[in-house]
Formats: sequence, C-alpha cells, structure tokens
Amino acid sequence: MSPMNSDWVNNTEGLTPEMFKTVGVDTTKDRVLRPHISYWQDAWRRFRKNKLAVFGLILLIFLTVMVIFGPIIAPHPHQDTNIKESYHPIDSEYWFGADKLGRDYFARVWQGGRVSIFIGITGALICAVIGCIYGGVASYFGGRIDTFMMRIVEILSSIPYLLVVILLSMWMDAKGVKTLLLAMTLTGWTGIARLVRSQMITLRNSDYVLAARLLGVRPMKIVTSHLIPNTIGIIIVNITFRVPSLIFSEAFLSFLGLGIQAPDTSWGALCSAAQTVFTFKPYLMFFPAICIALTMLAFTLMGDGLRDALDPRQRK
Amino acid sequence: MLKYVLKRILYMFLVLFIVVSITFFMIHSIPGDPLTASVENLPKATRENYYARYGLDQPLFIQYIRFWKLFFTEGSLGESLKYPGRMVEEFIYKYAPVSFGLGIWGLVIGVTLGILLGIMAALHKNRLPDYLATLIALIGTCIPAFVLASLVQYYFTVKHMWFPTAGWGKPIHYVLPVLCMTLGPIATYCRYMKSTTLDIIGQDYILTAESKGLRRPTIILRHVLRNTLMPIVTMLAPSVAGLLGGSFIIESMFAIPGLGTYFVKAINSRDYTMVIGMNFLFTATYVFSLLVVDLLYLVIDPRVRLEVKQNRRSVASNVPDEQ
Amino acid sequence: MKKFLSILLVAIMALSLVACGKTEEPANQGNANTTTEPATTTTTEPAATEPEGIVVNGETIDEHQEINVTLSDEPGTLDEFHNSVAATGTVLANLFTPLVRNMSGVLEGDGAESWEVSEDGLTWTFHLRDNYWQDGTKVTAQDYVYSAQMKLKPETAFPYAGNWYVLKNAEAINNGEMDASELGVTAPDEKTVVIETEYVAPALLNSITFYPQKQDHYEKYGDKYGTEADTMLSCGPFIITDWTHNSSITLEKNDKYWDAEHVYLDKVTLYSIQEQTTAYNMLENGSIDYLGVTDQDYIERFQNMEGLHNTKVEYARTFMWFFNLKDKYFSNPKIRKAIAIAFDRDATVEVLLGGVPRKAAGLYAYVMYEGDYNIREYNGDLIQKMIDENPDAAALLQEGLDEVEPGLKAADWSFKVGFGSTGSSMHQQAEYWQDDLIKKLGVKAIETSFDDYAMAMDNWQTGDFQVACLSWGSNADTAYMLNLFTTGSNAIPCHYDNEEFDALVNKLNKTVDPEERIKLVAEGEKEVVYDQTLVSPISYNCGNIFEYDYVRGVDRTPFGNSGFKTIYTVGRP
Repeated sequence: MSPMNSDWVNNTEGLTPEMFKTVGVDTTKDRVLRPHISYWQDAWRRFRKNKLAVFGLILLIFLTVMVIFGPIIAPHPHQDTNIKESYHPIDSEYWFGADKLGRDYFARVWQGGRVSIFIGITGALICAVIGCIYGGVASYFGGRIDTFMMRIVEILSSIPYLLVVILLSMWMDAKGVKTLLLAMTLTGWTGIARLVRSQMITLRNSDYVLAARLLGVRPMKIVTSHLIPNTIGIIIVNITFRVPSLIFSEAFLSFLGLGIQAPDTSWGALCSAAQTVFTFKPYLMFFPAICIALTMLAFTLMGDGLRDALDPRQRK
Repeated sequence: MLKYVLKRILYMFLVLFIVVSITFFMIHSIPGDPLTASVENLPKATRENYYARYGLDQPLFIQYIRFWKLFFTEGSLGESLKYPGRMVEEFIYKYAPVSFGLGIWGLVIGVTLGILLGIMAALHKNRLPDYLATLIALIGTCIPAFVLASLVQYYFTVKHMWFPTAGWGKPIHYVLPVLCMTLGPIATYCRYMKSTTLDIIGQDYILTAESKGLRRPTIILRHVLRNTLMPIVTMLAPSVAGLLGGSFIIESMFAIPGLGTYFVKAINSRDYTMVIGMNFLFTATYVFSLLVVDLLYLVIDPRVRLEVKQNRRSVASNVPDEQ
Repeated sequence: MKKFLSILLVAIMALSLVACGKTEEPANQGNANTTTEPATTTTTEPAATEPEGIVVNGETIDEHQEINVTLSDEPGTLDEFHNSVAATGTVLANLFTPLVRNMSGVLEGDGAESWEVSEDGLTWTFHLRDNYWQDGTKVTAQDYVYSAQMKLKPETAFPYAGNWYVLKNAEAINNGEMDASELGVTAPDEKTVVIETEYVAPALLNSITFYPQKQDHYEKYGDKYGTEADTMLSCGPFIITDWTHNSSITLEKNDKYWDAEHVYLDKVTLYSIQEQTTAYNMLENGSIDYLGVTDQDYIERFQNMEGLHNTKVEYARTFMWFFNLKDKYFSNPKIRKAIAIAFDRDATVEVLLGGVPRKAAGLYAYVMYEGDYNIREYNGDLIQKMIDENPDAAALLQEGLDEVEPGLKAADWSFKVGFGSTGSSMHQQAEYWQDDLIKKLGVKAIETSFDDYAMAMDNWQTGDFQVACLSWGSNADTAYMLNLFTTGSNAIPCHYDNEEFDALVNKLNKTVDPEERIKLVAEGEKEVVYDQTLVSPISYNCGNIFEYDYVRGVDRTPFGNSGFKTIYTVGRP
C-alpha cells in the first residue's frame, strides 16, 4: 500500500475520545543536556583538545622562557669577547661552543632570541592586523574605494625595498627595535591585504552571504561573523610564514645599520654571520636556524590547531 | 566588462608612473653618487666634468623631465652610469629573459610539487604526508638561500664534479640553480594549498559529491582544485612577475648573467639610470600581473563574473542590482 | 670584500717599484729578456715524426697554453676614458702597450724602447719601438698623446683624472682653463713621446700607465667603443675575442704584438665571479688556475690540497682608522693617540683577518720605497714606538678628555665609529674592536654605524663623523699618500688644515735628490702617525694566492702590470 494513501490517516473509525488521557507536560525531560557556549569558548575547548596544537603552544612558551633566562644562566656574558677562545668547541664550559670572537654561543643564541621572538611575533601580528583590516575594508566597500586602496598597495609593493630601508636609516636617528618594526611593517602587510581581499571577494558571493544579505543582516556583522572566520585559515598560514621571514629580514636590516646595534644580536644576524663559514663550522648556523625552525614549527602547529578550532563547521 | 578592463589598464599606467617617479626622487636623495662609490681620488673638476657629461648637474626636476622625454621620444631608459655606452633597455632585453627563463623552471616545478604535496597533506591530515609537508615547509623557509646554494654547489661541483660550478649557455647550467629555486615555492605553496584544501573539503558540496558516489580524484579535480585557485593565483602572478628580477643570491652564486645582480649592485654604486630603469621594468610587470590576476578572478569564479556584470561589487550594498 | 679585491687589482695594474732609481741615466734598453728568470726559447728542428715543444727555463711547456682566472668585478666598459670599475685594468693591461711595464719589479719598455729623465726630474723622453695595431697600422707617438689628452679633457669626464694631475697643466685643462693641446704630453715626432710633470715624481712610471689609443678608430665607434669585444682594437700581447657580459671574457694571443715570440699563452679566460665562495669552489675543482684566498678556513683547506701551492704577496694598501679633527673631542691629539695605542692589532691581524695581512708600523706599507730607501726600514716602527712610550692608554685618554672638557670621566664618555661596509666580516671585526676598546679604555660605550660605501664616504667628507674605518691603496709615488692629508683634501677626510704640513708636501714635490726626499717623506709620515695621529694604521693588505703547480710565470710584484704575457703552463693534467 502506498504511504501516500491517506485513508489510514483520515479514517478515525473505532477511536473514541475516552481512549485518550491528558498527561501534561513533563518539563524535566526537556532540559538542555549541555550549557550553551559561545563560538569562542567552543573554539578554545577544541584547541585544548588538539594535542599537536598544545604542543606547539608549549614549545613557544619554552622558547620564550629560554630567551628570557638563557643569557642569565649562561656561563659567560653574551657580548664578552675573548679572542683566545675563538671557535672554542662545544663542551661543558661552552655549551654551544664559542664564535669567532670567543663569545659564548649559548648566551648569544638566547640573547638573540629575545629580539627575534619579539620582532617576529609582534611584526607578524601587526602586519596581519593591518592587512586584515585593509583587505577587509577594501573588499567591504568595493567600487572606487577598493580600486584606490589596491592601487596604494601596488605602489607600496613596487618601490624598491632596499631604497626604503636606506632612506629610513638616514632619517631615523634612533636605531633599534622601534625603527626595525617600522621598516618591516611598512610594506609587510601588503601581501596579506591582497590575500584577505581575494578571499573575501570569493566569499561574499557565497550563498550564505547572499542569504544573510537578503535577511537584512548588517554588513558589518556579515563581515565579522561570516567572512573573517572563513578567512582565518589563510591568515594563519600567512602568519606562520611571516614570522621566520621577518626574523631573516631583521638580519638584512641590521646589516644595513637599521636595526639592533652591536653587541646585541638576533637569530637572523647569527645565521647571516655563520653563512660563509657554514661548511667549516656548521654549529654556528645550526643553533640559531634550529631556533628559528622551532619557532616556525610552534606557530605552524598552533596555527593548524587554531584553524580547526575556529572552523565553524567543526562545532559540536 | 570592457569598460572594467580598460579602466584597470588605465590605473596600471597611473601606478607605474607614480612608482617610477617616487623611485626617481628616492634614489637621488640618498647621499653618495656614482663616483664616490668607486673612485678614490676625486678633485672637484673631475666630479663637475662627470656630472656635466651625464646631466647630473641639472636640477633634479629637469633631470626628471628629461627622463620621461627620453622614454617617450626614443623608448630609451637612459645610459647606464656604471656601464657607459650601454643603454639600460639593452640590459633588460638581454638579461631579463635569462632571469625569467631560469626562474620559471624553478617556479613551475616548485609550485606543482607544492600543490600536490599540499593536497595530499590535507587529505591525509595528521598522518605521514602531513608531517612531511610541514617538515619541507620548515626546511624551505628556515634554510637561507645562500646556505642551500653553497651546499648544492659544493656537493655537486666540487665533491662530485658532475656539474660546472658557474657559467651560462648550456642546458646543464640550469640544473643546480633550478634545484635551489624550487625549494622555496614548494614550501610556500604546499602550506597554502593544504589550508585552502582543508577549507574546501569541509564544505557541504564536497560532502554532497562524496555521497553521490563520485570518486576522490574526480572530486579533487573538478571541485577542489578549481576553488583553491583564487588564493594561489593571487600569490602566483606577482611571483611570476618577480622572476624577471632574478634571485640575486642564486645568480651571483652560479655566476648567471641575469638581472638580479645588476639591480642590487646598481643601488650600491648609485647607477641612477639603472636603478630607475629596472624599477620601471619590475613595476610594470608586477602591476600587469595584478591586472592579470583580477581578470583571472573573472574567469575562475563565475560569481565574481556575475557580480561585475551586474555592477554589483560590494557587501555593503543591500540592493542586489545597482544599475 | 669584493671592493677591496678590486681595488687591489688597481694597485697591481698601475704601479711598480723603481728598484733601481736611475733617474738620470737611460733605463734598460728594452731588452725583452730581462725577467728575473731569463727565458731561453729554443725550437728544435721539427723531427720527422715528433716535433719537440717549446722549452722555457729548461722545461718543455704544454702544447696548448691557456689560463683561467677570475675577475673580481665585471668591467664597466673597456673604454679606458669612461671606465670607473677598478677590475677593468686587468683586462686593459693585456690589450694595450703601455710605455713601460713593471715586470717583477723592474721597469721594462713595452711601447717604448728606451727613455731618459731630465736633470730637474720634470721631463721624461720616450723612444718608441716599432709596434702595430691589430689592423696593421703603426702605433705612433701621437696615439699616446691622444690618449693622455682625452683623459684630461673636461668633456670626456674621465673618473680617474685626479691621478693624472701630476702632468703639466693637467689640472688646468681638466678645470676647463686651458686647451688640451697644452698638456705636458707631446709627440715631437712619430717615435718620440715627451712627458712633462708639474712636480718631481720619480715614481711616475709606477703610478700611472700611458696607453695609446687610435683616434680614428675611437671616433668611429664613439659611445659604443669598449662596450663589446668587436669594438676593440688591440696592440698589446692579447686580443679580445669574446665578452659574455657578467660571465666571462676570452683573450687570445696577438700575433702582431712586437714581443709575440715570448708570449706563450694561446688563450686566457677571465670569469666574472662576484661571490667568493663560488670562486673558491672553482679553484678547488680546477676551473680556475689561481686565486687569492682570504678566508682562514679555506686557506687551511687549500693548504692541504694536492697540486696547489701558496704564495704570499704584499700590497701597498693600508687598512686604518682615521679621525675627524673638526670634532670637539677628536681635535685633541691625546685622545686620538690613546685610541690608536689601545687598538689590538695583533688579534685583528692574526685572528680576525686570518693572519693574511701584515701588522702596520706606520702609514706606508713594507713595499713602499723612496728611491733606494725602504720607508719602513728608514722610519722604523712608529706605532710600536707610540705604544712603548705610552703604556697606559686609558690614562692618556683621560688626560685628553680633561683637556677638552675638564671633569669629564672616560667612564661617562662614548664615541662613534663609522664603517663603509655592510658585510658580515666587517660587523664581526667591529664587534670585537668595540668590546675590546671599551675594556681597555674604560669608556662607557662605542657606537658603530654601518653604511654602504658611497653614503659613508659622503658623510665623512662633510665632516659628519668622529672616527671612521677604511682601507687606502697607495701607488708607488710616496707623495701621493702624504697629499691626502693636505688642506682641503677630501680623500681621507681627516679635515686636517695645517700650513706647515702643506709646505712640507710642497717641498717634497720640488725635491729631486733622493736623500732629501726620504727625509721629507719620513718627516711627513711621522707627523701623520706619531705626532698628530691623524690615522691609526692597522694592517697592510696582503694576498694569499693559491696556484696550481702547473702554472708558471705569474708576475705578482706590487705595482706590477705585466699582464698575462709572462705566464705559461707546464704539465697541466
């Protein structure tokens, strides 16, 4: 018999009202089993459960602790040259060996880490924030404003960076971390701005955005609730690349005299100095490069975890 | 549509003009001139004669006008100061193809491998391909290009003399430099590809496709790849444009006569015409590549096409059609 | 690094040492066989089946003769009037015939057969030999005159014109005040060149090089001359057959050269290598035949390699710190002297620079002579003298500070040192000096700043610095270095304005007698280093050349410009 045959539905023969009794509403059985949690709380929970992501976070914390305390616990001060100990091998007295000038490499690596981690993270975050806002605004308004903003991005990206740096080093008298950050973030955000904009252009034509607009959702809310969370993946990947790239840029800038001044150092600077003697004294390159790699690894793992955590589709 | 393309081309020229102008004034405002960079004994007369010969004694604005005049009347970017007698555009015609021809190999191979690796990493998340991809990305980013190049050069030309150390002209000269140039793109593109692929895979239409019974490779080819193209293309086009400039490190390491070495040295030796001329080239190609990217958006994503057709281009406009 | 190497090559090219100061007799009669190892060439009768090869110095040389070397920088142009790249000189020396060449320290006529100098030392007369251009025309005295005149003409804008002001009226011509025909280089007849100088310059022939240029050929090509191999016209030992820009230059033997019989090389390949590591790799795998090595690690590696031997060459280039006398603090000689004394030259030379250079004892390097007198022998070790007399540098510094600003303690004072290089080796050296001097002098801090060379030089010339670091190459003319410290000179910008010193240098320029000259030179150096400490010399550049055992005949004397004509190979595998 076809279920579409409605005879059995409408035929009430044999059924009388006395056969039915009102039992009332049992509210106890209708409790919500779990408390309502917000998007962000859920994200944090999911992040915590991701073992790799947590490992990444711990790694980052470990590196931070080392750069703070490393130079303090090191047997020799980082800037103390001792030419007789030039290239002292790795042993109990010099835990990472000594560099050409006889300085304790363990101390130098962790001292350098202070600058690198700070610059890497801060710079990457600044670039990401500026880039997101810029790209978001450009695609949000569209039309003439978008055109104008993207032309500015093109202009900034085309001016030779070396020239910008040289000019900056001329104008700024104070050299140091602040000028460094300025030089690096001056043009560093353009890449991510373009990426964000391209993602948003794709997304704003999605069905759910169309639906939201038809429903009359305010544009700003569309951007924050729909567009940004779906762009986070790209942004995070960009940050994980930007951190090591900034660390190396900092070395390049310091060589040109813009950044940290001797005897301070950074991982990028240590790597650069070790390049020419790499085939003979690999440890000079090895230690700072490993640190940079570990930093990047930490961000990669955390980034992947964040991606998964913030993905609305994986909400439970 | 056509109006859109024409407008973009116009903007392209505008940006080019602005950038070249800014660079012109920037390079001239750095202290030092072509002589201080290379000659030790410089009496006043020598410097004055030199300036007079190359037009450097004119007020800056006049030099600026003369630059454009030369460009529009003769299509020339001026005579190089470090290489007198040779015009900057000659360098571009001769050596840009070298840099490009070398770089394109590295980019194509690197991007292809990177994309493949990225897709595999996304499909086998948290298993071996994923770890491999992460490792390669780490190595590719954290090993400075110089170190990689010198290791490769030492191992393959000295320890085992399989390849010539330096030089140019035969196919064999390509092998080592290209090898060095692929690692970077592999690292970058595999990570981006993995991230975008993961985004796409989570979408409902993929679920639909799977439940319809479509096989994996078909899904990837038909649905996933097409949708990952947007960010990849966004990054790729400027990279292709950048190939003209060559990689300074690779070119100087393997003594390849490309544009890369010329540009960096030009700034240090204050070869004004060379710096401006090269910047002109790089900006033009870069801006052009962005135009190509925007046009590709239209081709790749039908929704963007629709949007442009209907002149509807912003999230903010609540009225679907704005004519 | 690459900049210092390329300037090194200038020193090799243009200069030589007058080993025998015979200023009043005709010099060697241009006998081509006056190299230190008399080369005997015998060609045996070709035997019926196996002709014997050429024998040089008792060895049968290889049948195919070629040499592969590196050029530290790509030549800007082979047009000597417009070139500003120092490394180009290496190529030019092989394409043209200078009036004389410095061969192993001995001046030998190349374009000229013989020459004389007048009593007052101001006029040089050269008698040319028969020599031909590649196109068959004769090389005439007028060719030499044309070349010299072009260099001083204002419209040519020759970058190195300053080095030619030694010639009579040169400066006036370059200023546009006189016509080029007034230049002190004339050709009374086709085979005689007469050179008149502004002041006495016994080392003239080791300081600047007189090449000929064919006027009609040059004018035919105009701006294009020197940009490609096919625009060149040679008269020297080699012709240029290929120039792949930024890659390599190929030279081949010039059969029309007057001394072609004694040029053994058939082919020379010069590779334009910018990156030191690449050059080292090329040496190791045999792609090039010799190379100067400065990295300590590579020196060790090559010393352990079979088939390579090592020669040390000394140059006339001084690496030094110099002071700005217009600065408030550095106008005080005690402060300058204290820093010069405290500087750790031993560690610098032995560790930082890998033991390659020689420690400095004064302004002039050990290879500098005035006539027969070696300046270092004559003047002794001025730096050691300063150190012995003032063992406590920190105390001396404090004395100086008290004179400038009473009550200022060294521990509260800091100063700046500027460097004209951004390379990592300079950074490392600077970090060592910084730490070491802070400890030795007890100052609060030493700031270091790194700029590219052009910008640094600009700052120094405008007096915007306190202490700076550079290396300076001298030519064989001792007056050249002293001239750098006269009023208004901006080459080593100490901004030293002292009339008495200027008078001393002027007197030197007019003195012919070698005995008198050496006294004046010694006095000048003493003032610059010991009395006033305008500079703090650190070391004298040297080259550590590694050469394959099959290479023979490379002339490495400082100031030598023999080119490749003396080179040959025996037993190349």
